[in-house]
Amino acid sequence: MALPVSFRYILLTLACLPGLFGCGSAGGIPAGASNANSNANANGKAINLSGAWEVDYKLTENAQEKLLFLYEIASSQIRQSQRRRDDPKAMNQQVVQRAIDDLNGLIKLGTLADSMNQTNVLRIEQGPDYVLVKRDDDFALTCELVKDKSRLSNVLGYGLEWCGFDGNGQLTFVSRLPEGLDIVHRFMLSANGERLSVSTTVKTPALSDAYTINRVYMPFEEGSSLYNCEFTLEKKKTCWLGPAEQ
Amino acid sequence: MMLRFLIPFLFVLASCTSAPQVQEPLPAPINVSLNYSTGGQSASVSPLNVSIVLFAAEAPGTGTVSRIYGPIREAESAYLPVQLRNTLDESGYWGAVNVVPSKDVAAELLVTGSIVESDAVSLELAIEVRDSRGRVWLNKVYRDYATDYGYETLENTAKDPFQDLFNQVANDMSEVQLLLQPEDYVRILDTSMLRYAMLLSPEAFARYLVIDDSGEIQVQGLPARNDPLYNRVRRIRDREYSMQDVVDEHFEDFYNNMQKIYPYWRQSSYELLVYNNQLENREYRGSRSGSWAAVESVYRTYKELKLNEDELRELASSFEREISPTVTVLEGRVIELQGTLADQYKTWRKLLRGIYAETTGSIPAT
Repeated sequence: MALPVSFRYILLTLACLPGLFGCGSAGGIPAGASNANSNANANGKAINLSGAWEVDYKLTENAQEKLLFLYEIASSQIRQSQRRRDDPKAMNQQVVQRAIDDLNGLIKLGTLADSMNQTNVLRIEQGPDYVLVKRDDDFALTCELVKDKSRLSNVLGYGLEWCGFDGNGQLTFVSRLPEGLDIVHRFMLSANGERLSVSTTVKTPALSDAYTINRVYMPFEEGSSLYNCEFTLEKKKTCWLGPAEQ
Repeated sequence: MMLRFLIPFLFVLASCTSAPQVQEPLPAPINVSLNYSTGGQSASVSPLNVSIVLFAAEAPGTGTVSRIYGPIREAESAYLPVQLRNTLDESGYWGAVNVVPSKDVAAELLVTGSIVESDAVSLELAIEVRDSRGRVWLNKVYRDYATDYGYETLENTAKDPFQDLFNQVANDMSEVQLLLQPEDYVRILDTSMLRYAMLLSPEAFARYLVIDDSGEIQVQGLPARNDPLYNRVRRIRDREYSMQDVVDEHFEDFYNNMQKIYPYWRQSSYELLVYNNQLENREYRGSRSGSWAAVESVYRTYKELKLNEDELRELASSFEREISPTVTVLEGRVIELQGTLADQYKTWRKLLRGIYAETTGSIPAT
């Protein structure tokens, strides 16, 4: 099920596209996380991410365009290979079919990854021992920052979740779900604290490569927005235009 | 470059998941029908009133509930007692059954409990039932398991998948009650009233109660029927009951709100928890395992669970935040009680003691 080498290279390059934070930071998984035992003491230094963040469209990659670009590159390679049938190095029909299947899988994976990282507004609450990332139109990401304890949790029974700050101060949420579906969200604050990059990587056993989508956020002043929401027992979630009620 | 880091870590995760993947069949759920009162027991005495204290929320193993998931467990600690209250009410064996925010030592029958484990597959509660004499009726851990069937019926009949557990607790309580002799009822009621009186005025009523060698409270005597202090205590207690009804209504409202979310949260949680068992049939919601449709289905369920979890968290934190002040009239005075239910209840009891002290010239007990 391996993708053509050049195709894989393109995929990895695209995963690092935002440029703002560099490839190394976008893809790395905390060193401590590679060893379950060392998790207990690999608590990286927590960086304060709290506040309200809205998407910065200038720096955020367009998921549809990225997928389209990938699709065009890959299908072009397949077409070329089909044309050069007399070339012994060209892909045979079976390989071509596999590449097409992989391409279809990648499109699906990309679409799924995109659906996991579409939030335009993040509200992050952070204390010494927890981080709560509230995402508009999506579920919140929650993390207990417990020292000297494994941060692997089994709250979903057969699914596993892990979260924490790595040595670089990047907040990472990892979920391994049934069907081998792996999801990694990474929150990286720029050096000046003015931008927050969120990368979401999705992987399934059906494809040898993971797919990463990135969004970049900038801070905004909570309460100055014209649009506010509140949850109450009586009315559930209600939103209104105007300043936040005190 | 990225994958060089990612893949080894995912292997670690994979190895971590391997242990739970060795599946054991889920234990069979208990199947218990609720025993209903036929009205024949102890017709000469009125049924006992039951106070159920909010359950203690305990995280399994750690003894503490995480800050993130705390609100959900807190919500359960108010939700599950109401479910028990409804079951006891339905059985017809009891007088007034109320959920109270804090321990009421003068309760005729006091139910305390803690949540040992609560997820969509199993519910484990440690329950203690004690009467006003201090006699322990039950001290037992109850456990039940849900099944597919339990969640199927949830949609159709609104029956809780763990209802059998509550039926079992109610049945055990009624079994003990059926063994009581009429004089036991009288002692329980007398002790309850005297313990309440002691809270108001220990110096006047302490002499009527002693603790025996077994730790039970024995009534040594009773105040005269026309004792003005004792009659005053009765009236004060009636006011306390009215406050208990107000508090209980708040819990009932909360329960009804929870009903709109909690069962669905448990249902989606259940689907994930039993996922591997379902894989034995190689089917998952009509999707073949290993197919893309199965992957999408897993994520949809996961997202549903997480969104429900968020809503539960909001609900639980809104509950305390939105408790409105209770305005009531006490002895001709308009009283406004503010704060959490526990605070309001505490303030109310303090006021009652103050009123008792004013009218009797005694010093209110703290």
